[in-house]
Amino acid sequence: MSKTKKILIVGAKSDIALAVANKYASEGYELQLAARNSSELDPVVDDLKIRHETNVIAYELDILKYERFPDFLDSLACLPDVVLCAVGLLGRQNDDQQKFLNSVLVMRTNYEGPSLLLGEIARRFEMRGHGSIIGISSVAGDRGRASNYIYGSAKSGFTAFLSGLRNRVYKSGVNILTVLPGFVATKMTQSKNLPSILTAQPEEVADKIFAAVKTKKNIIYVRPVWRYIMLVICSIPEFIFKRMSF
Amino acid sequence: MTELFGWGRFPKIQSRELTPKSEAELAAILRNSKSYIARGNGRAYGDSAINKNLTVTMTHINRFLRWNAKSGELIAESGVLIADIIDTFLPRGWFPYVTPGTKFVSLGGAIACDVHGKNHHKDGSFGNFVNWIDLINEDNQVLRCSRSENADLFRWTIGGMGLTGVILRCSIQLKKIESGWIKQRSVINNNLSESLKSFHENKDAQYSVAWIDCLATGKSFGRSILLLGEHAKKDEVKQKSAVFPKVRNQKFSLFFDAPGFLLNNFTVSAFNKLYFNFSKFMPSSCVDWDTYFYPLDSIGNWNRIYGKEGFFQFQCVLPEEVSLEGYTKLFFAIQKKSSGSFLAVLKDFGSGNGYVSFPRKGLTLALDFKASKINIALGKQLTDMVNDFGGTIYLAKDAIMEDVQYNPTFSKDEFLKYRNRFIKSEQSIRVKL
Ligand SMILES: Cc1cc2nc3c(=O)[nH]c(=O)nc-3n(C[C@H](O)[C@H](O)[C@H](O)COP(=O)(O)OP(=O)(O)OC[C@H]3O[C@@H](n4cnc5c(N)ncnc54)[C@H](O)[C@@H]3O)c2cc1C
Ligand SMILES: NC(=O)c1ccc[n+]([C@@H]2O[C@H](COP(=O)([O-])OP(=O)(O)OC[C@H]3O[C@@H](n4cnc5c(N)ncnc54)[C@H](OP(=O)(O)O)[C@@H]3O)[C@@H](O)[C@H]2O)c1
Repeated sequence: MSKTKKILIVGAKSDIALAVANKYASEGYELQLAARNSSELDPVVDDLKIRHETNVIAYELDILKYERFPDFLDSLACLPDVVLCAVGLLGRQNDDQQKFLNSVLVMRTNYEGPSLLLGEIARRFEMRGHGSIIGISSVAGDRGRASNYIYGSAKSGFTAFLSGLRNRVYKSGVNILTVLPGFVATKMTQSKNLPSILTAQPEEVADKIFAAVKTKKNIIYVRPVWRYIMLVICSIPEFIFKRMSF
Repeated sequence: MTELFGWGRFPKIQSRELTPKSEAELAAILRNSKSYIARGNGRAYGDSAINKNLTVTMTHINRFLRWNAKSGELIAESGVLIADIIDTFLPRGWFPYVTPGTKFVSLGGAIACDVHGKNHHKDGSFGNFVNWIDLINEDNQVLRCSRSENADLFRWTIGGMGLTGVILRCSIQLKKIESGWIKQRSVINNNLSESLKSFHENKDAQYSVAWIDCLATGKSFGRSILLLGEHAKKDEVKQKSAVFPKVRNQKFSLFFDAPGFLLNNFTVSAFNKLYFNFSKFMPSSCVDWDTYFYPLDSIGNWNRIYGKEGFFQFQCVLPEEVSLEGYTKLFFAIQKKSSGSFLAVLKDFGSGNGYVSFPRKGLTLALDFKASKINIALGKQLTDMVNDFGGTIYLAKDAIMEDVQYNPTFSKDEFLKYRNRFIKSEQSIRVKL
């Protein structure tokens, strides 16, 4: 087994995940990429191999198929040093609130799946005695708003899960990073008109993540301004908040 | 709608822009559109890569597909930038055969404009190192074009300004080099005829480019400094330096339009004087690839120095026989309007690829003008003069030419046979190409 460090990236077709893959590969890591319909990763795998002359292996993984998680983890060439979960589903609030089965999909994709997978990985890291886990959550989880509370509440649950997990595994040398990206220009937000000063590029997110893992940070807002925006949003009294629209 | 413009920030045009992330997305976009143009990294100066109705930006279709480490053949999607290629392959000893003066151009843009570097007299243009192109045609099918397959379409696509189809991917040949350093030496030329002669005398140099002072008068009329370069061998690199140095850090970046008065005649001529006095003392030296090929790339958005109005570049090539007479007249015209130019560059072209491609035997001159009314009129006047001398204008730089002024040396009818009807740029509409 080679000594090169490895990162497992789950939801590897995500634009943020891809930027993270490039960043870690450029820092000498080998890549384990997991995604559903993983054959769509083939060109990405070739590109990463050419760019970075590193090992890249693709795996099939659907974050909703919980029962497969243990087999999936056993099938990895080896337990990685770092894991990132970038799986997410924004959904469409207006439609989803009418059809609760849609809501279920958003909730499971953003909360249950990622939490269960990272929980199981944390258990294995704990036994081994080291490892870093990165969960991409969202500022939408800081306070529920009419325009995206289904997604937001699932992210909120995910943030809480990561917080508890961090607390639990702290002593065993496993580090857990919660990333709150703010707006990022990706497939997910393609159709939205985002204000450019609040919107990060995926590469910026990747650089921040790499630095934060290195210095064992716990929670990061990719653009610091988001911390203050959310501080303000969270401090609005509920009786006013419920009348506001955003 | 977004406001789109080229590197010159003139003209600015409201356009619908889509940036597909995959070939499938691209196909879906093209299938439903009857008027569009492909856009690379927007480094053409004017409106070559803008269509009001739909501009399809290719920069996210940018994967490396295959690399042959033995032969140096690279297969990549058209949105890959030359900067990416250098970043990835220079540390392994490979460099593009031909590169323009900025590394932030896409493969699609480099092929569509058949870009040239400082080595055209030796190696020709970018198209010479393209093995094949996968082109999306009018029926939205992908056609492989090369010198042996769909050969005519291949030739009209190189330099075809994106009008024959959307370039999806291509195979190009990289050049093996021993180091990332260039040995540079300079030759001072005191007047125009010396300037022209010194190109002739230095035909063997791998790279050559002259900075020319188009404001000097009298005995110094047409004075220039010719910079010559050769790739340094491994053992010629200074001991403490990396054999393949990394890209320079960005020095600073302009986030706003600089006030126009910064660049009036006075500052321009002062700049020219300073430059000339300084370079007289410039010793032969070893320069890193980034400083040598891309001197301005380390200043982000330097195009904003020309202020809100933006600027345009005038670039022509004149047939060799008329170089002296032609450039004398052009410089006189420029001096008369006294609209001095920040950057005036002279390069030597060998014979060209023919077809739509710009480079052809002769010397090429490029200079920037602030996009003021006076300068636009001057630019048009210079274009007429170029036409009279049997020369032609580089479409990648043009933003002002009128249709009657576009003087292609190829048969438009022949081009029409390979031109995609759905593809139009604001420029192709303007010059009726
Ligand atoms: C500082 C600077 C220095 C320069 N120096 C030189 C030089 O030395 N020599 C030189 O030759 N040029 C030079 N140029 C011009 C530049 O190299 C060309 O304009 C080049 O085409 C820009 O590439 P791009 O990817 O930005 O293309 P864009 O500017 O986006 O597009 C240029 C043309 O290519 C077409 N195109 C782009 N992508 C595709 C595609 N995928 N399929 C089909 N058509 C496509 C567009 O339709 C358009 O007609 C310079 C430009 C700058 C800003
Ligand atoms: N973009 C933003 O502004 C923003 C802001 C805050 C947080 N985030 C979070 O950042 C993360 C990355 O998102 P992104 O912006 O990069 O968007 P993205 O490109 O849309 O990525 C989301 C990824 O999740 C994957 N996914 C969805 N359901 C899945 C499932 N059941 N199994 C496996 N994979 C599944 C998708 O795979 P497919 O490609 O197969 O659909 C997609 O690749 C997400 O968690 C997102 O919530 C984004």
